[in-house]
Amino acid sequence: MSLPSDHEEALIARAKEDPEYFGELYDQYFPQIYRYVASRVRSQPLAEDITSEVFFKALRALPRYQHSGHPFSAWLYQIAVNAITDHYRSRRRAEDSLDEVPEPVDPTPAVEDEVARRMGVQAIWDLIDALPEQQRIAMGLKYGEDLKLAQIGVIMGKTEGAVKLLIFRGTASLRQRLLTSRADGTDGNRG
Amino acid sequence: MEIVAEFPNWLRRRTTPPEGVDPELWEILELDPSGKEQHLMATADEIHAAVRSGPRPQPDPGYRAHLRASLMEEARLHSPSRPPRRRRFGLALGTGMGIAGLAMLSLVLVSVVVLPPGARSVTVRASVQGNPRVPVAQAIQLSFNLPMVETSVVHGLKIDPAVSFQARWPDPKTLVLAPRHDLVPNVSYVVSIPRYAAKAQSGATPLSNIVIPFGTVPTSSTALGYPPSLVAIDRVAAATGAESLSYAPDGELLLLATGPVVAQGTQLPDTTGSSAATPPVGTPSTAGALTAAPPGGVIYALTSPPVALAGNALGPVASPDSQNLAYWAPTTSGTATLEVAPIGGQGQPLSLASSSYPSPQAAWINDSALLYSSEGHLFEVNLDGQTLSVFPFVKLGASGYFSISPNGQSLFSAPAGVPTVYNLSSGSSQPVPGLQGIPTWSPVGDILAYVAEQDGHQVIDLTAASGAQPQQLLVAPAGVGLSQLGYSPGGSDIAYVADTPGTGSQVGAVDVATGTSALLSTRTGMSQPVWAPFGSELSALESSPSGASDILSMQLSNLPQASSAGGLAASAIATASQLAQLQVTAGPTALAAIAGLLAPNLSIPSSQLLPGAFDRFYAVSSAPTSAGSETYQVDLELVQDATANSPAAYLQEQVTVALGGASPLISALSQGQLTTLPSGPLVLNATTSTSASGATTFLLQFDSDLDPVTIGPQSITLTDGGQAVGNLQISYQTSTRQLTVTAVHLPPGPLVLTVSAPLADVNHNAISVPYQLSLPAVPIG
Repeated sequence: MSLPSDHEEALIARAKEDPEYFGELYDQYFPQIYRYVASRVRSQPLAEDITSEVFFKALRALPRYQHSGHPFSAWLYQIAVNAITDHYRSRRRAEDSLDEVPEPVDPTPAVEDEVARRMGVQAIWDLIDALPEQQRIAMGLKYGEDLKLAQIGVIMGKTEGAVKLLIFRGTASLRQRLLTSRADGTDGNRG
Repeated sequence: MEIVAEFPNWLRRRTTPPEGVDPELWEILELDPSGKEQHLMATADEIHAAVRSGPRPQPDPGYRAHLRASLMEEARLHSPSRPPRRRRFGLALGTGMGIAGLAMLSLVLVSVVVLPPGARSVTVRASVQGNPRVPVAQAIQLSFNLPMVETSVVHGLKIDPAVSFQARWPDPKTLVLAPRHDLVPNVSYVVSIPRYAAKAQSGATPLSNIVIPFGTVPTSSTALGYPPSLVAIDRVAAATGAESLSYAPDGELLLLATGPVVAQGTQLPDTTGSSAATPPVGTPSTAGALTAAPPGGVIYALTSPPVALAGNALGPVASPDSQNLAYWAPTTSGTATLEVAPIGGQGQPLSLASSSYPSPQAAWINDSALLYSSEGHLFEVNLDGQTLSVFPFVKLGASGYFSISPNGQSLFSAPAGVPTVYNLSSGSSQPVPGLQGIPTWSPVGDILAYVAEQDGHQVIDLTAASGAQPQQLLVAPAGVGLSQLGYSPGGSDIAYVADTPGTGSQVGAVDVATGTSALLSTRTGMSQPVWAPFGSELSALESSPSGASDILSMQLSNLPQASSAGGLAASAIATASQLAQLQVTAGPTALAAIAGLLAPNLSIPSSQLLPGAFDRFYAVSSAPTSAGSETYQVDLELVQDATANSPAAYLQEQVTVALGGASPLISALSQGQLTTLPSGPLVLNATTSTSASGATTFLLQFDSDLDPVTIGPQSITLTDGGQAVGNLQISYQTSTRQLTVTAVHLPPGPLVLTVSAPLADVNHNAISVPYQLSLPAVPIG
């Protein structure tokens, strides 16, 4: 997903001199940043707003960006993580719950099946959302974005070992909660 | 301890992950082949599946390009090596450009804004846009030029004052807002959508926030206001041959008189003859001297002592900045010359133009240009004397009279004696049948008030500049003549002269909100009522049998301040001290009642009005407790907006307010229970039928489009004698919003159909209150 390191470094250097080159970085990284943001906020308008915020912040902060050997995308993810965190801190999270997602409905599956599927997915999302913030971020970047632990460490400002621990504990915690909810019959998949 | 117990042993052991498994995850979660790690990897798979198949909304098709264009625009603006590449437009705004160019300028300005390549900005037309007389039971339709992101628009949309409404999208470019209650009569509403929320599916947004003002019809049966009352009356001056009164925008009272003027017991010097005999402009006249009338008249600023500003003058009108005075100087040939003299400063008057009319009309367009009439046409002239013909489609009557609306968008004249309103942008015209005399424009320029005749009574009618059906505001008693209308600067009242046989002419005022009217004074022989720009003072002439006139200034109460920004409605801002006093005497909740009662006249920030739990309020009704009473009963709804954790709710409140005293007094207040507003789809109608084969069909008509995903056994149940009925046939017709539920071969027990969440509309608003329909048992035999 990332540009070759030397090419990326050269592009960043050019973009610092002439921000119009930022467009090439944008073209390269828009899809994954938008996808990540959308997976976290699950609302199209909100995802668009936050993605815009990420790239505008990146553009404005580009002169101060120091290439550290990590992919440029790690820096963008870092901005995105902060923007999403800011959003959730400033708003009530439930405003953007799955119920409000303007998701296109696939007309093919039966109505009941589609509802069950969505409710099951929602149950897992709800459990992820209930995890501590750091676990949630680490798991989102790993499970959703397939990022390397080192990159996640850069994004989160943590060591690789700390990221491992966050993912492990988050996964273990989620497993336990899934088992509990299924035992209680509250998982939508069983309804 | 817990950390130790859960600590993974990825450091203990490494294995090769199965194909397709993230080696890092494997490393983190794999412990040993038979234990905990298998479950964790299974969980990881489940999380992966959920994350991958879960909701991940796609961006609008044009959003990516739109954002890129915006980023590049910003990049260019801040580029250290390249100058900004903004489009430049050389607008030749010559000094001769005045109102004639304004419409064109506004069109040009729209195209000046730099847009991203290929992106069109969002524009919207509203069915109620600018209409000051919208029926109270009307839905509002917004027509966008692009398909919109519906949830974003509705989420950001606000109506102020608050209105609970149902939003529907017949198509992605059309939004219909159906208020749940009638709007409040004679209230100015504003529909607003923040720019960021008015997002098209292409990613385009408007160039600025969307703001749609409109007003509702006045309803005389609902008393929302009351006319002003006289507090004090002062004699400002006396004059012989007083012709007209007017105010400069800065509040200076101007008098045109053809005879001597006496101010505060002091007579002013007489001036006679042509303009050459005019007293020095800006020089205070000598106290006690007489002023002889020139063929026109002398214009005085009624200061203390009064100052003669110009002689041989007709039709004085002060410039918007109150720096200059324009007037007509009649000539011996029966024509007139347009002159402009500085107010209060030294300098000779400028002669700018001539008119073929003996008593033509002039109106300031801005501080440096005027519109005037000559030879049946309108001309524009600037202070350099450059003249051009404008608005060729406007026709004038024999006198050359015209009256341009304060917003410069409409103009009244009477060509061939036919009262007509011209739209200066489109050139279209509308006759105003029945209009008598000289009308008055509302301060914003959207309404024309005029005297007409109906069934032998003189009436005051209001008509929108757009040509809507006139609304009757006041009916005079039989035999009483009405004339000399004047809108108050705040737009809440219209002053008039009522001429009653045997009594004489008196000055009155009618409240525009209610049509309630009162004479301001018992004095007779009154004429020329003019409002001070600050709105709490009305000046008029009072003639005596000797032919002299007193210039009276009446201080009035219960009047709003003028709207400073020229919004749709005038509204008064209560002072901090007034608010504080009301807070003490009435409490914050009662303030809402007062504001609701005085809705068109009083604007108080809602943060100061409402208890913390409520977000907004609106007046449901307001009426005197008895005929003619000054005590009103106001029914309010205090609204609590929906949040993520709680649905919208309202609380009904009834407040009794006595208005007779110096300030409103709350004499009674009662509150109902906080009631949750139902949200989500509503069942408008339900029918049932039973076929010969025994199948029972329920047909439910919904008010909004349903989300098909939410329709099914999970939201629709049927019980027969308390037992759930299976095998329901459920179908939904999107075009008609009809839900059909059919059950076959039912036993004849009592049936109960229940529709509940998760049934939701397409905006994902789940039905908040389950809907139930019961059918009694079919009698056996």
